[in-house]
Amino acid sequence: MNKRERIFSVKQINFHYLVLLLLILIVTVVMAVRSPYFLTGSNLQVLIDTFIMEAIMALGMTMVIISGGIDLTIAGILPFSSIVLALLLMNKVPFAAAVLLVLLAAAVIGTITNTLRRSLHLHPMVVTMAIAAVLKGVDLTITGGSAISGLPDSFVRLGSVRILGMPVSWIVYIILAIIFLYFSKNNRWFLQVFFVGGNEDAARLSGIKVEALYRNVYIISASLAAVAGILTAITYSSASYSYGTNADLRVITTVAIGGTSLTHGGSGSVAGTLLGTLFMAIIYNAFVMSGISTYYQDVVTGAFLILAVLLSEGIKVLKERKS
Amino acid sequence: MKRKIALGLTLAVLASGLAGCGNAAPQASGTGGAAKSEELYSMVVFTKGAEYFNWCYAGMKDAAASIGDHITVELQGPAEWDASLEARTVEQVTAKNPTGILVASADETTLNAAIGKALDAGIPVIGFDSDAAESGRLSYVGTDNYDFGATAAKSMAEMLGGEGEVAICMVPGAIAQEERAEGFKNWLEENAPDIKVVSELNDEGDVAKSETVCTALLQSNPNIKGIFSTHGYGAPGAAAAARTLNMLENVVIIGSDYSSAVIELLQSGDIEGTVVDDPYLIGYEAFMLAYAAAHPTEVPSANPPFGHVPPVIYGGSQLLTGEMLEDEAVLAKYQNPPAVN
Repeated sequence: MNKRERIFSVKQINFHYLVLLLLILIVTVVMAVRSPYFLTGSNLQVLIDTFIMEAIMALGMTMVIISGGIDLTIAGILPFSSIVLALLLMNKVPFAAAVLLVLLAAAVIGTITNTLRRSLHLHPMVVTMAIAAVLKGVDLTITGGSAISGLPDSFVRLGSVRILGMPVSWIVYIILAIIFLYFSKNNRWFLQVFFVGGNEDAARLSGIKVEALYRNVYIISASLAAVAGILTAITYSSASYSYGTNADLRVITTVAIGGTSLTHGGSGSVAGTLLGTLFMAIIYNAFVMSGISTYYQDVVTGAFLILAVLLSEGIKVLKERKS
Repeated sequence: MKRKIALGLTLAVLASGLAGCGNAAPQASGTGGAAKSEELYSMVVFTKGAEYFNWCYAGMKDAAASIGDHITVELQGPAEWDASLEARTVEQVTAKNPTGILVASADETTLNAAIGKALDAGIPVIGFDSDAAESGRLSYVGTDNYDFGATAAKSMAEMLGGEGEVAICMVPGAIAQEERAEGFKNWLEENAPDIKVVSELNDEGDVAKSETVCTALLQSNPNIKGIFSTHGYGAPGAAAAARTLNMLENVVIIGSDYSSAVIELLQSGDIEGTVVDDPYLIGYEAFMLAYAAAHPTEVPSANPPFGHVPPVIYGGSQLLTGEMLEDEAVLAKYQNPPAVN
């Protein structure tokens, strides 16, 4: 990344932030006027709860997409993790050990994803879609289609634990978001992800261990999906194969609306994803709040996705033309 | 300069989008009776857009209209079959403080906490179609699957003249289907002992698999005179098997639920009947119970402070036949399900 490009990408991202912030502001004002319940404490809490699992997974997805890949396995890993956790707990495995085992399983899945991608020379879309399908099938086979409940009381109580007035899922997200935000600017490995995504050959020539980097990116994404699965099980005191259906699409949309480029790796930001997450959470809530048919929700998110892509790609084209 | 243009364009797009949203507001509740305050009732389903739930919502809308135009209703819920997403929808709906909530639960347990929160907030919750029995919901309106199976058995007995060997196509383990099979077998045992259920097949709820297992069944046992499927895909599969083996004339096929494929097979006579429940009535009743729970009377209630409602109401089930579809009004009902925006 030469100096000029870097400056441009910074400007581009800032402009993107500006537009997103404006959109968030406008939707918030419109909703506050339309519904007396929108700005109530209980709704703001629900607004965050509604999108918290996607928010967590979006952090990992941001890294995957910046590296030039995509990860659809998360829609399979989320329910898989909730089910495995539930079964372990019901078989008297201590909570900490069960969580570690689930995270380990996710890391193995992430490794398998990358190994298949590399050895079969397949597009990550194909590999991750296949793995998600396999996991969904496994979930369905294990559970026979019904939800797992009757989890140990100590686990069920976790769902109502509040730390500083916040549920466990919020605390986990805040910690993860701070780590990602900080490291994406300062950590050498995170910066290498940008480099590899932007120009794999150059990165390889400069001595970066590209394959190890890809593997770690997929392991991070898979592990965050497992975290979301564990938190979903905690939140609902149940586990089911139905959890996480289409979560992959919601997460990818969030990342793209945040300005991370789906068309070419190496460009994007964690901060943009945080804004994209806030935007999506508000949109999802606004639709239910205003009573507008949720059928329009996909139309609107789709339209904003196009707008976001136009913004990030269009500006890039303008810049290139100028230089 | 270009950046300013882009920003301007963005804002213009947004402004028009929001203007559009304004127009697309939900059915405005009318001014209504002078003293009546506005009431909102939310129906929350999984797989929003499914024809079955559209029927439920149509019933709810008509029931609401019969009370008055101060009642607004809405249909909410994810298009995906995702119990956790549906639980979030219930929480979001609760945050806007509706007068009542009607919920068809994607599974038996995931929505428990969300439903509990709504009840704690003083909002009556009525379950319908798919129950979350331990959620604390005040009442449940649905189909008695045992009775559903008995309806199929009664029709089968009439069509077979009270004797013969029959089989059941089902997905073992699925609770609703197990109940239908149980109801079918028990009714025959008690009322038509000369009809023997000789085979219970697992067709995995899939039309192709159903065709495979029914072909094997009919080939290995040509004495089979009837097949009952406990779900919507079994009867089309059984009909395909009988057609291939040229046995359509010898076998009475009774299915469950309906789809456009089933309607066509009923009209052609390949399937003799299908048992249907009444989602319109289920939605209608569920709304009425939510209204009753939100408007307590002096009758003591089992769930104070909510109004008195029964713990359960079963809608009936009936046999739909090709003959019944010759009535254009009946056919129109099944061919033109209500659209929901």
